[in-house]
Amino acid sequence: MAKLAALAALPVVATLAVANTSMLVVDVKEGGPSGHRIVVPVPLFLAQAALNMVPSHATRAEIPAEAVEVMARSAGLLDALADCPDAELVRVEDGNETVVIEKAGDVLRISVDGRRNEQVRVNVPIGVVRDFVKAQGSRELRAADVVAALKQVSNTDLVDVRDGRDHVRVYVW
Amino acid sequence: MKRTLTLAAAALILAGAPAALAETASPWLHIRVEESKGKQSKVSVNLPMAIVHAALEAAPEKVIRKGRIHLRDHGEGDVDIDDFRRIWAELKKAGDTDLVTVEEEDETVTVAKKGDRVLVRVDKKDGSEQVRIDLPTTVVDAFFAAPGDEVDLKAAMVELSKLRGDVVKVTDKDSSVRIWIDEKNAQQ
Repeated sequence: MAKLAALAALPVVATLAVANTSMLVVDVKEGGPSGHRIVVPVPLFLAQAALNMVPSHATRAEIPAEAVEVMARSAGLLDALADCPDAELVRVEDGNETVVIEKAGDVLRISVDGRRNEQVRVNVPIGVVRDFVKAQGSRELRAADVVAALKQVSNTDLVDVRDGRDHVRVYVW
Repeated sequence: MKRTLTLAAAALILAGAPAALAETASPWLHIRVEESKGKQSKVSVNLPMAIVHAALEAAPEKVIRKGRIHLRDHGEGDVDIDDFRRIWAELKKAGDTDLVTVEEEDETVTVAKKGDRVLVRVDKKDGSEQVRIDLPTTVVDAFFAAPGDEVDLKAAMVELSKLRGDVVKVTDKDSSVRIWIDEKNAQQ
């Protein structure tokens, strides 16, 4: 009876674990009447656990020396950006395309609007990127660090791309 | 236009407006570029000077080291910066005067010192191009304050942060460029 109860509790525990953790969701919607929709929810705690089972060399990438230097030096720039009041920092209107970079709260928003319903929205969580950059002390980019950084993000649309009737959205929920 | 843009870029590094105004709030650097022909492109940039300073700090060392640019590292070996320092020191002693006037067939270029500012003016005689650059002496002083073959961009930007108002205005028949500093986070 105790075993049965334990087994029955497993889905509940799993559901609670998922509910209490961030989830990266990739949502791809094809336009048109026969368009497919693919939604891939990735619980970040599972991603982190899975990374622990993969040989470490397969989850690391070498960062070029110049990029390491830029990352080390950009920490101050990210600090300044985090402290900066909300504002539209850059706007480029070029014929049929408009690019806007604005700071809103802890997010750097990049918007690109092109002709024929092309639309790109990228939201960069400044604090998370800053913490990530400051934590990088080596010339290796570790997938586990990326996942750990994503776990700090909540309810944020990271990427939203519309091209005609196609729509791709990547968000943390 | 290429030349005027180059002048504008140089002025962005060196220029400023009346130094008498106080630095009571955080300054913002604004840049606006507008094309009146073709795609009629518009570019506007609004950056707190704190970010400009941080960007200077973040620049790779091979470009800028401790806020200073080493001219010889950038293939400017023929440039003797000491000559410029000497000329600048002499010009400062000269008091208010027209330092340079070049009258060509189609344009007039003047560089004048008035009070605490150096004024650069370029005017096409047919009115198709006009450049207005104000260079406060404190910014130029700071720029040339570094020793040897270095120029101190960081110190110049610190001086620039104290300034408020128009820094550069360039207009020609196809486009206009304006660079200014104020304490607003948006363009008006």
